[in-house]
Amino acid sequence: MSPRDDLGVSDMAPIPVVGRGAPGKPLLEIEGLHIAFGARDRWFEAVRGVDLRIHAGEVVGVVGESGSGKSLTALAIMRLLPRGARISSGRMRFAGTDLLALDERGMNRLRGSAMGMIFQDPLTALNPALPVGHQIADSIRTHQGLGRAAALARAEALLDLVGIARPRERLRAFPHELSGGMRQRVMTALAVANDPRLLIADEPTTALDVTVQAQVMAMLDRIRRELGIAVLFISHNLELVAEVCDRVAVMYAGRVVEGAVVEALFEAPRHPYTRQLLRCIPRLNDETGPMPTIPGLPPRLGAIPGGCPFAPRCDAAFARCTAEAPDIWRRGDHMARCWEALR
Amino acid sequence: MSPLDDRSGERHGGLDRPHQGAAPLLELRDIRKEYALRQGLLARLTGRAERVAAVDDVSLAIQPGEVFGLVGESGCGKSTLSQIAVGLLAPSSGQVLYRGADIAALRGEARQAYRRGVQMVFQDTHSSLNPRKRIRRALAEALAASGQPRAAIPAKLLALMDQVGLDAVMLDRLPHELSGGQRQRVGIARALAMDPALLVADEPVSSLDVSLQGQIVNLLRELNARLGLTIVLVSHDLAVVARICQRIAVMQAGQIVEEGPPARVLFAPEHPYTRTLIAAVPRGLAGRRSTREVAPAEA
Amino acid sequence: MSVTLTHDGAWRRGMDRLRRIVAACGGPAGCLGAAIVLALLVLAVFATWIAPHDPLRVSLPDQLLEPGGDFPFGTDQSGRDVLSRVIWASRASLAVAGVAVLIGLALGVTLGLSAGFFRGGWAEQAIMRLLDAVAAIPVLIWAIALVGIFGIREIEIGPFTFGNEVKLMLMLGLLYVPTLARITYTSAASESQANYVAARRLQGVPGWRIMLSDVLPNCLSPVIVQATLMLALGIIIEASVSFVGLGVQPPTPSWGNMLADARNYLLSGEWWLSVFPGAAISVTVIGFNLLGDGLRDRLDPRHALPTVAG
Repeated sequence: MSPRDDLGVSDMAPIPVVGRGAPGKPLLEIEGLHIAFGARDRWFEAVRGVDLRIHAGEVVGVVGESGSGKSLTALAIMRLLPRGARISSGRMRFAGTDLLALDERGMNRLRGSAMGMIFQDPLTALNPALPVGHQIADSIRTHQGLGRAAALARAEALLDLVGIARPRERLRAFPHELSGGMRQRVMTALAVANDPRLLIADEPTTALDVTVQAQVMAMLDRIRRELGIAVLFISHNLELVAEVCDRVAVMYAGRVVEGAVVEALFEAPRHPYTRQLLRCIPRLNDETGPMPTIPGLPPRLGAIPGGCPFAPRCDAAFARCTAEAPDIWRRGDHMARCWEALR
Repeated sequence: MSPLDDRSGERHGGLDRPHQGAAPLLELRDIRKEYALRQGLLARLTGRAERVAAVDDVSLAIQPGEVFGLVGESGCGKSTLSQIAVGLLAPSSGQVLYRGADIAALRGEARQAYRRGVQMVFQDTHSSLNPRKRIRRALAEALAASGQPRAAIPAKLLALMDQVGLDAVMLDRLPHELSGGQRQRVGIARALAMDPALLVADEPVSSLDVSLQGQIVNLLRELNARLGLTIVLVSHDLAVVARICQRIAVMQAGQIVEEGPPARVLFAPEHPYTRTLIAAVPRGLAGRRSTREVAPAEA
Repeated sequence: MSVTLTHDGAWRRGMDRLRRIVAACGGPAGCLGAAIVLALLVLAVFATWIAPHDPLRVSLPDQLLEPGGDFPFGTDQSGRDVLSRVIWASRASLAVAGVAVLIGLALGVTLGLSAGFFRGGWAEQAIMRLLDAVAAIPVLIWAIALVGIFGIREIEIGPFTFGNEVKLMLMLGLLYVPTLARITYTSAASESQANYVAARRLQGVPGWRIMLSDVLPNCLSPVIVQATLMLALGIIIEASVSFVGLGVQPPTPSWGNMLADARNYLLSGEWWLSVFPGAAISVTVIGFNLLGDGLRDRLDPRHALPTVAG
């Protein structure tokens, strides 16, 4: 019996579990995504041309520091951009559907069914006034048209799936009665309740302690393999991304500056930003002395320098870097937006 | 790869080594902090309310000139303990001794000396600065409170900014016009304005991006080296603490479960909780599980 | 954009300034509110010069004249100029509403701030619960009940004589205290937890100084918004109380007592007696409300320039 049968959804079309670099049409395809932020006549581009592809069953990581545009990209896929932000251009196709052409009703059908999302702070994403079981069952009834009892039974199975002990009791718990790690599990149950093909996880463990983070990550990894879900994993934590992702995109100042299969990116990074960032990670070793840092600050929104935006902080920059926006270096699956890589 | 030898020689800045045996700068003795659980009115009035200990009999001695690390997860009591150390919270029982004197008994000049001598850097850079005060005013007020004569303040302001690596033009900015890293530098400058002997830094880098964390950690390290400032670094990040501290204490559920030099704690942890903590830290490619290999696309 | 570029610098500077002013009032609606309030203040302060006639001068030959000619708003049953009376009435209305809010602010902010800052005592609990109880009943109900109890006679306390307006101001002011205190309390309680307050404590600064110089300025935004809305409420309450004859007493004009007089002519066709004071009340209330909403938009941190998350 497959895990899908446990959930009582064996009648649904099976979703093939596909490994990394699967050929054929990607599940999600983003091209030239631009997102502008602002009001009235003052608009700043926060995301400036992001291309991203996710194949079925694949785990793609997007890493970057705050302000790099990674969370906005994730929210744009769900068309959940905050007030004051809008998609100014680009194309997004999900399983053959043009996401930008969908109306709000069409989007609502996708959200919480074919696409699930979990956030950094589950408390804001869960309704504080309703028991968690109720919330999951509601979503199931909305998207699958199940009866009340059947929906609750499935909600219980889902809580069990995300590793919550005594799921029947926990159905009646309110979000505030649960710990941070528990809430993130409930959030995950809600996100996968209607058999999504894509799960967007936006910094799902950033608010959690390391020990809880490890548990939640193990749970997410198990679930996505059991259910064959593709995952877009947004994080600032490179070490975590290296542990779980198949492919990784590194974002800086609203662009993907390097993208590659995880081993290539971490073992042979081509963009100086990636290299410098990897050096900065505090590791559990016996090194002492000053910590490596990247000098300067990430550019502010609306004040992104011309040429390569990383050039002012880059240890490998030369004259051309500040003058011209870099072309793309490409070798197989590996790309980097960098003049130095092209030399 | 795990030398257990004493690396204190390279780790110390201002003073040659922690003065083991010498009088500690700050000593916590059997500190306990209890909170009443929120319960019914009757229970509270009759004093039968259930109490929970956030800090449960902790004793610590901070030696002058050392960088001491306090590691633990959220809710372990490390923040409560640091607030007690700086005197923002009073312990339910136990003593805090500053230069050998119980701070609860300090009066007048001696109390002022403790007040100025122990400063704090906060985690949340947004709330640690008054949103309506320009940096100049925030720092000038601190200098004035430390007893600096008015005439000396302008020059001191520039010296402080230089000390924390900020450009003097930042003086006329409002907190929200600065980045998180810059705000944290201002927070450190404000603490330095009091000319402290001990700086308690409560998660000073956890709200900052990886590329900027090092800048702040290095600044703290430098202050220890150049000024001989004693630093207590409170953090959940074992790697950061291990990098710059001479001694680490691991805290769990209100108690210190392990204490020692970082090399010993990291590579020969004695307490199971320390081992769990170390094992939970993500390790990049090395941490990829073999079971993660997924089926090939075309079987 | 191209339009501004073709014009000279002065014009553009003018536009920039205008845009800043509009932004300061929280948008076009708030700006309209500010303009209305400003115009009213001018009317009230300079009533002596602006009003074309003496508002109290009775002239029986000019009884109940329709609007037009010498009397743009017509005349009332005693031949007094309605326009002049509407202008003069703004004084009574704004004075009552304004002074009441000042009283409310002085007491309410003091109470709320100290309760929020020095937390945890039973005194804090007692004060806040009492204020909650008072605030549970709408101010208008309180006002009418209290005026009914204390009557319309002047009260003499020692050398002071309190006329009806003064009583109304005091009473309204006291009735505003609970709401303003609770609003201040909420922000003061949360601001007092901020780390910048802890940092000031670590500098050895006494509590009351931290409260005044650090906590208070950061609590004022919602209080200012509420005070503006309370000005509108004060206008309505003054009018209502005067309408039932318990507020500003004739012959002093107030919009409320003018409406009360106009009651007798509602069916006989002298529409100008009720329409103009009524319109004055509506415009004033709308003005304060627009300004209050505008200020809310401007001062509310959630409406501040958006920041971008990772």
